[in-house]
Formats: sequence, C-alpha cells, structure tokens
Amino acid sequence: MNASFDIASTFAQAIANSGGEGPKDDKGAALDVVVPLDNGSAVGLSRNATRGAWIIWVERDQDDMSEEDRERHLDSLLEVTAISRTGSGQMAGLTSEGRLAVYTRLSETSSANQIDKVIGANLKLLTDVAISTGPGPTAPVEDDTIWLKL
Amino acid sequence: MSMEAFNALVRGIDPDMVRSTPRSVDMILEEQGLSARLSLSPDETEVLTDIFVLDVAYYIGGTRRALQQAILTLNGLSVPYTDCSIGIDHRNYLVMTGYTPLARATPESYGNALSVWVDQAMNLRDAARAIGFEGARVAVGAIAGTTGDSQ
Repeated sequence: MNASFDIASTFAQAIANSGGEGPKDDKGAALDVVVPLDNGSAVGLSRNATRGAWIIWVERDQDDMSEEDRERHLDSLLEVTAISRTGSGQMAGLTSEGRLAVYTRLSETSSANQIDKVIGANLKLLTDVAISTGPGPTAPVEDDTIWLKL
Repeated sequence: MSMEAFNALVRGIDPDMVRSTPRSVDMILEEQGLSARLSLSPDETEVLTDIFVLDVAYYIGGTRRALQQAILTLNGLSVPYTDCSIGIDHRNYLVMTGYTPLARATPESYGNALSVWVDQAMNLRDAARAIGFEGARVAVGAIAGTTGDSQ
C-alpha cells in the first residue's frame, strides 16, 4: 500500500468517523472529492499535481455576512495565509463555485485524528468573523474539537 | 543534513549572499523593484521564497474588497496546479510565497522556479496597482446638476 492510498483512506475514515458519508471511488480511495456537511459547509480532498501533495479544504458560503464583516474576515484569512506559510500551511481561496475555502496541505503520514483537527481548525477560520484586525489562528487547534459539531 | 543542503543551495545560488538569520537570506531584486526572502521551512523539507510584492495599506473600501477577491480567486485557481500562495502580511504587504522541496532543489532548478515566481509577482503587482487605480486619471469634482440644494 503506498502513502497516497493511505491518506485517501484515512480521509475517508475521518469523514466516516464523524458521521458523514465516506467518499469512495472504484478502488475505495478518496480522490478529488467534496463532501457536503449539514451546516452548509463542505470538506474536500484533492492532489496538487505540481507539488505532489494532498490538499484538504473546507468551504462555506458567506452570504450571511455583512459587507464590513466579510471584508474584515477576508483580511484575517489573508493574513493567516501569509503567516501560516511556514507552519500549518493554511491558505484562503475561492473554489470554482465561488465559495470561500481554507486549504491545507497534508503530510504523507497524516493520521485521521490530525485530519480531523485540520478540518476543525479550517472550519473555525471560516466561521469566526474577526473581531479585531489581528490575525486568526495560524495552526490547527490543539484540543479535541469535534468538527461536525461546530 | 537538511541545514547542510540548504546552505549548499544558498552557496550555489550566490556565494556572496549574506544571511539575515541562520535559516534565511534576504534578496533585493533590483531590476524588478522587488525584495524577497529565502528560508528553510521549520520541518526542514522545503525552501520557502517570500516575494514582497506591494504595500497595500492604502487599499480601503471597494479597492480593498476587489483586491481580496482577486487574491482569493488566484489562490483557489492555483491550488491544484502551482506551488505558490498569496497573502497579505501584518504590515499590509502583499506577499507571494513559492515552495520548493529541498530534496529536489538544485541552484539551477531553484533559479528557474524563482524566475517564474518573480514574473508572477510582477504581474500580480501590476494587477494590484490596476485594482488600486494607481496611475489612473480620476476626475475629482462635482458633476453639474448634482450638488445643488434640493429645496
């Protein structure tokens, strides 16, 4: 079993453990998939062709935000992107459907628990509107957050 | 070993480069009017190249939102295909970061990647300046018939 398959399987297991439907293809691996969550968010997994890295992302609509809140929130997310380049590697972007997303690279040895934490941290970044102009969290949360309950 | 590989890479790029810290080197790209920082990632697996593109502190209101939208779109598009990301740091500098796996980096391959990133950074700077109306001719003044008292 190669490392790529490990991550895909681990991702599927993390989704399944959290109560969602595990993404599967014909070979039982998760590749370039998006799984919708109950709260209007979605989580996905893809592989970067250039860097050969697995990318996990969490996305959500921002329709419920005022223009000012959205501007502040996006500033915060872009600052997280600038700061976390040397650490957690979180990057804010827009999906092809125009939904706001936070992307994180996974290492080849990421466990289901670590993936859970990454999803939780990214979902928190997308959900929390920055109160101040300061940056948001720059690393996955260290507690045992159950991300589906956020 | 990784630190040695990083040191060898830096020496290979330019033997005269001066360290800003033991793990990073600052570069001035004079011809392009850009500055950059080359650093070893904390896990010592990648070389990070930060290119400081433009001070965007004066981007407020609509221009700020347009810039945010442009950066987020570029980041989203780049995820599957490229090896860089764009953010705005705490000093309000637009920063483009490129990633190079240290194990595969040679002075030549790094030079090629840097050349691409610098080109992208210059394009990004042009786009950001256009969004900020830099150099644009903006008419300031009242439009006839719109400033009178309505009573």
